[in-house]
Amino acid sequence: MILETSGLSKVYPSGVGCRDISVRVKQGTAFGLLGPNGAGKSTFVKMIVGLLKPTSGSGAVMGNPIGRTEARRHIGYLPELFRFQDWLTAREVLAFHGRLAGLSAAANRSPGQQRRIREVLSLVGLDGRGDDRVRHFSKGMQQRLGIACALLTDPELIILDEPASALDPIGRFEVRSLLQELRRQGKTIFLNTHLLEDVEALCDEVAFVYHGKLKAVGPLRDIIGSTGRWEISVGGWLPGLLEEIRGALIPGTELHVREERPDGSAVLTAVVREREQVGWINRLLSELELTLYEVRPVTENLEQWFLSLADGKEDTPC
Amino acid sequence: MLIWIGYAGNELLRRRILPVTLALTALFLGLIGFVLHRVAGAGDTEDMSLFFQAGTAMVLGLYFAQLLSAFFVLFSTMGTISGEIESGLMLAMLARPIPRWKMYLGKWLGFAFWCLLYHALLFWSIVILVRVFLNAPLLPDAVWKGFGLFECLPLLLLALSLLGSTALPAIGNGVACAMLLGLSMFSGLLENVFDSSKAHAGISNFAFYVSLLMPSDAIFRRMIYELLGGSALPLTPETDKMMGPFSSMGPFSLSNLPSAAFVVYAAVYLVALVAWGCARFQRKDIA
Repeated sequence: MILETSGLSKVYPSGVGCRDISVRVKQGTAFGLLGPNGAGKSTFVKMIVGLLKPTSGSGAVMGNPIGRTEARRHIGYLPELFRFQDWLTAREVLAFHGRLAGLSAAANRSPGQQRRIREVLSLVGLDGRGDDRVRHFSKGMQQRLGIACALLTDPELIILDEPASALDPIGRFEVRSLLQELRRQGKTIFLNTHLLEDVEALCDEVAFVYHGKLKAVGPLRDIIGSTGRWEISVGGWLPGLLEEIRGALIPGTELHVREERPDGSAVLTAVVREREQVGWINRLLSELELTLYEVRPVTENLEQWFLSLADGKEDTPC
Repeated sequence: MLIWIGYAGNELLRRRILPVTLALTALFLGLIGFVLHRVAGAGDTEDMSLFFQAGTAMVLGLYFAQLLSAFFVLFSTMGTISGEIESGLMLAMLARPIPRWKMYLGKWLGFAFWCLLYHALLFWSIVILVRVFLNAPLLPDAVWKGFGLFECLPLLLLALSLLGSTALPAIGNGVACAMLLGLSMFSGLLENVFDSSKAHAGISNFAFYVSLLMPSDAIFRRMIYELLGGSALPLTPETDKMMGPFSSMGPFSLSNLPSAAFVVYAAVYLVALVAWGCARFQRKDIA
């Protein structure tokens, strides 16, 4: 695991913050942290990068306790509401961060490091703007510079807090493409965002934080597929079969007819608690000599899932 | 350390703090030069009274020079920590693999370098002006001792301002530091005006406790004493007589001198302030 937290909590005197957050992020994956405003996402991220001291719990980045300089050495971080020294040029900002990252003055001036600075500026679309002062940058350009800064040291773990918040649609697309490219290169990305399309396009796993608590965590496909509803298309359907099948169902499972067609086919909806219960229903249908055309889980899109969690309609176990 | 000197220098230069300060300082020094020129033109440079006028001019010049320098220190550093946290400047910096105490110390050293340079410019300009125009007989040893103490003043204020900015917002910190500095100067003046006869122990005690909190005025008085060659004199009631006219310079008199032990206290206090700031910043939550 490149990042692991266990019961990480930060409780402010006002009571808000985040509580008991445990996540595990595998190397080379993209992990999305979702949640509405004020849910505690940024608090959690700030604990990982050492800006906040946890009230309780622990965490490690590549085996190093969070907050220590050894842990921060592996992290490239883009804060949410940040600003750079507006009296410096973009190149000077990156050179300054190179020194803060531990490069000696000579190493920072070396052709290799100068090449790296040009490279990251080019990656974020700031070619030719390296000698402009940050004061003259738009918010979107500053955001790009922030991403360049996070990538400067070629870190193993890239933590981005709302990376597309100040960008226009083209900028968002470019950032998403950049992150996809980084993921292809084997970088681990920890994405804290409101933008569900970014999470859907990029993340292997997600965690949902609401009111400071972790509501769900796991692979995206499992989470948004965990409605417990399955759709079964069958042939040879006869009215009255439903009651016969219902009598044989395992307690706690349900079966409904969603659609009956004149050609004798039908679409059934099963509500189950365990995947294995779908197998039992399939067996019942086969015993009744029905033809099984298709059995598939009913998945929500991420937006529906997000809203249902935020509304408290669903409380997926972590 | 060089990185922080460069960082602070860039900030002071490109935010036009340094150019504006230097331009106004030139005006201030020009005014002092003009006054000294007029004083010198009014009398014989071999006249002993001119020597005392030179001393007075130097004390006054340095007194207001330290005020100028205090403004420079306060306005450039009152928001160094809290202001940079509020604006989001610190977020990306503190996520870098550098211990916070090193960053704090680096910032202090970076600003200290430029403040010391500026203070040195003020000190030597005034001393040279007094020497050139009034032919004041300054002893090299005394001048260097005075210079050393004069350089302590911005360091103390800088340490206090940086420490304050770990706890207070920029404006609040600026006001608090300015008030402390003002209190220190005021209590020093009170002591000189009302306690020269040692009749008001309360005032003396008040001034002493204030100087423990903000020793800048006490150090300034010791600096003047050293600069005028007074360290060869014993710190006794007879000192007043031996210092001649300087002991009766009203609010700037040298009748209440801090001891050498107090100078040591100020040095320890300075180190403690910086260390306390490092520790506070190390523990601070950057929300």
